[in-house]
Amino acid sequence: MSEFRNPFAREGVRRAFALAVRRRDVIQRDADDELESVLEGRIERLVAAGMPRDDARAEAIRRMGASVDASRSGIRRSAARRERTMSIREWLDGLGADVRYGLRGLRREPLLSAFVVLTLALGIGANAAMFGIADKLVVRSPAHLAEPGRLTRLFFVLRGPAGDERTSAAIDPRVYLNLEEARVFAGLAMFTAASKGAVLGQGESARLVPVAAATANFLSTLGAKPELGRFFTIDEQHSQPSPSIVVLGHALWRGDFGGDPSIVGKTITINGRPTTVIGVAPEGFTGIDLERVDVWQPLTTRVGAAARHWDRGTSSGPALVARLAPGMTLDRATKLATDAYQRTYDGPNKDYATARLFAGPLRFGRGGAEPTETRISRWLLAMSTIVLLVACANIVNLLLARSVRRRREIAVRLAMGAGRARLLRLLLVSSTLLTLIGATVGLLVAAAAGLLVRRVLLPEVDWTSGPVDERVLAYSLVAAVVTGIVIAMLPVLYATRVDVAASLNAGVREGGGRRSGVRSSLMIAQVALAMVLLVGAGLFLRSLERVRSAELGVQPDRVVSLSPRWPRLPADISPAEREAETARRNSFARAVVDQLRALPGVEHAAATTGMPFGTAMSIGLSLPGRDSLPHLAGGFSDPDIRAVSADYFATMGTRLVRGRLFAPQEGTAGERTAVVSETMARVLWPGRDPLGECLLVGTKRASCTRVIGVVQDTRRSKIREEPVMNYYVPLGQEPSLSDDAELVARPRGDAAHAIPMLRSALRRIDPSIRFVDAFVLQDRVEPQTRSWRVGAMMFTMFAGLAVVVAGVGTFSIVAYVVEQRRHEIGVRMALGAEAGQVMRMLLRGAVLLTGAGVLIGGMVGLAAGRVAESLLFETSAHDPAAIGGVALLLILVSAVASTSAAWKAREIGPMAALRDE
Amino acid sequence: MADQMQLVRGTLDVLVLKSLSWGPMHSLEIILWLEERSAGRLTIEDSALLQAFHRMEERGLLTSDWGLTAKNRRARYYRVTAKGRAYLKDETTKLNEYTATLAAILSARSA
Repeated sequence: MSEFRNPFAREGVRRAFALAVRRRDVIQRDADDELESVLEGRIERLVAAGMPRDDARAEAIRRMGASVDASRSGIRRSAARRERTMSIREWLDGLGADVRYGLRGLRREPLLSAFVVLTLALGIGANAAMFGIADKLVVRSPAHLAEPGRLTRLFFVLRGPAGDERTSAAIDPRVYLNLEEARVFAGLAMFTAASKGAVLGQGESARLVPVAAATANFLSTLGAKPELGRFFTIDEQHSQPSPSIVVLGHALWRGDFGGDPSIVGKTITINGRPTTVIGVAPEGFTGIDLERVDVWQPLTTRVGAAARHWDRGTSSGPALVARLAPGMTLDRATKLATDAYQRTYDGPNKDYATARLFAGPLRFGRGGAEPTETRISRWLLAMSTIVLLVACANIVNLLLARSVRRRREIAVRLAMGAGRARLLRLLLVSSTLLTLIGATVGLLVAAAAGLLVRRVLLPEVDWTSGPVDERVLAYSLVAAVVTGIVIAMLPVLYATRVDVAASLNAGVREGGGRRSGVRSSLMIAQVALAMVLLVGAGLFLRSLERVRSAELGVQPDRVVSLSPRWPRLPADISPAEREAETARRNSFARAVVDQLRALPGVEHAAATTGMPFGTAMSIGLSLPGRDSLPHLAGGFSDPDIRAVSADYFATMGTRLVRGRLFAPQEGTAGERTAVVSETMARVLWPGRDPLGECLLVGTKRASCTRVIGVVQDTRRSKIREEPVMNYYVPLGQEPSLSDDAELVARPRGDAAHAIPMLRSALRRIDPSIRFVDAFVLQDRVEPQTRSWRVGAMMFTMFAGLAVVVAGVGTFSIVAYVVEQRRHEIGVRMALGAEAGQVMRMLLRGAVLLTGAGVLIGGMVGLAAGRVAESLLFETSAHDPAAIGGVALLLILVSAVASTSAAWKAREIGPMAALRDE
Repeated sequence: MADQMQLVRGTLDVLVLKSLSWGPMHSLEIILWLEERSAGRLTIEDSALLQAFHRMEERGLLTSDWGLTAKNRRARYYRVTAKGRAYLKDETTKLNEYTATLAAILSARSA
């Protein structure tokens, strides 16, 4: 066929316009003729009865009623109305017939229709589901915020020792107090992030629930109203100790308390204490983050001028959310807040004195930039759109092929007088029928995909509505209509340019060598898009593999952390008793670690003042003869210190590199010793053996702490972080470190299964323990790998989908080409060509197109990979194994598809094709 | 000429349908038939009648087409549709009942 020209421009439009004008003339002429016929008829009768012509005419006009002109216009009007009504009815009937024709067409080619519907369902459904996710995470603000555009999250920007800037959402509570006084904002509230830190209930059914704390003005600053009861009051916020009151999260209220309308005032057990419920939060309320909160507690703030002084060092802490005053911009708020902070900072820390505040959008996460979830959801939306495009390209190709198959039928219709506009409508209706059915089925896919992604990707987020809500439905509808138009465009344009005479000729054959540029481009496009997704999948899978095998320095899946919790001390005991019991509890870990180790199910156990992926701390450190120490960007200004019992390294699985580890009684008498990490050894004593070197822990005047061993590096809190220096001292050796240690154990066999045994063991040792908070250390690590896991999973899923769709598309196109060139193939065979030769000829085209697609897709993938490199883990965006592997896969799939389709060419004997004449 | 009769609304359609119940007729034929059958008492302006035909066709009670009269003149022929036939039957029944009821009341001899 010749090149495309837009048939709707110029000629067609002019014809349609002329049609409309002509139509009106025709109707008027009809009406006039009818009037004339009646008049003339009457005149003739009267003349035949003997009246003179002029009189007859006058009489006839009199009988007509009004003047001739008035009558004419009246009759014209009624005729026009009649035509209008009848043509609308005709149009609707025609539409109904078109729909019935479309349905018949679907039934006639069930395989094609099923494939198209399924492909559309997957494409549109996945897209709608990702839209639902992205909508919640990116587009919509968290629930129940009034004017969320006027709310801002405050960040603290500290200039680190190396000159870099560290942004954090965790801010010292004194900043809050000072800012509040300075009245920079219309409303300022402080809150903590949700953490699974509260024990709800007692005994066997006790469980941990996510809890957050907030100041009294939290709800009012955000503009939300409680569902029941009230939020905290200022007095409750200021009272020390913190009163035993909570506000329940809506979901918890519904779930655990059956939505009891009289819950306000009732008492429940939180952390073993009777607590009064004073209110219920509105449904879906999660503050300005998205994680679910089951229990809100008052966030205590100190009062008085002393509370605002910075003489006691600094701390990070809760987060701040503020409502901008009317007319204030974020930039101005940033400046005012920074000024207010720097004005009121009166502490000694130089870094803190020059720190600044930054007012950022709500969306930003803890680090002052968009959180990973947001970026992930954007990628998800992009990916699903790509799959939809692949699906569209595929379907367009198939529909093009179908419209060529149907060209004889179309030619017949045209020859029998169907207008092209009518034909256009017929084909559009057929195509739209497909997309609407596909979109409806797609809703099922959207629900399933949405649930899957929610559960795996974002389990902490509070999803109040189902995966398919009105917005998703609306999006699906729009997507279906747009897709319908897109896929109908090309086949419709193609079909209506059918040359009637040529098509009606029997034995129509298209020239063998002519290939429609459009169909080829479509095929290249779908292969390229599938390739892009495959590249993503390959890179993420590589990343995941690297993450899994990353050397963390500990074995988190074998380590269990145990934190016993005791009931609050009664108020009526003597101070001496209080002190004694507190001391006992603090040193509990040290005291029982040996008993724990002795348990049959436990390989190793230790007490430690911190652990990887948990807490870290540092105290001053210096080396004799050196003024200052080099420090690394990743840590505090001093290296991390950890006080551990002797069995710590075996428990954690940290390998010894040089020297020795602590002996059982180390640190109680004799020389002070320490074990350092590899990085610390390398940085502090480059090129030398650190064993025997001296550390001055705490102050420069401290006695020498000798290095006796070097262990492998361990991660501090993230899988991917800058290297840090850390060292270990025996528990109890360093007086400036508190005795408050944590228990860790390494059970034999599966760590999670051992938890109940460990819990009851601790309870046996000390029956006054109310609850033991236990978790496998891997639980702290898993969430971090989540983004890679999810990236790998999503990309693989979508890439797989795209490959399947592209593969089937390739199959059908090659099959179509075979069908189209039956005659040519028959002739070649008759002239002596072998089946293999014919197949090679057919496949050449497919291979070229696939190759082009892989190449183009590969290049696009590489470019995109550079953008995504930050999301990968120790994987270069140009990883040859990943890219080469997926290219090979795609070529293989394409080859299989084309070959199976071309196989049919073997069966075309010369006679069969020639008989087609 | 006898007195002119005012036509109750809606009954014109029934009369036109009746006129066509024996077969299609063209515009003037219908008009003349009504005049004759009513012995001249029913006089409606021709233009009003033509507009009434159009309305009836719009409602689907009639269809029309151009044709040639006996005298080889071009005229618009009207024909009843199935819908029109059904409408005629219903309305005729209703009208007959109506007139019978009226007659019964008006011919009462006693209070």
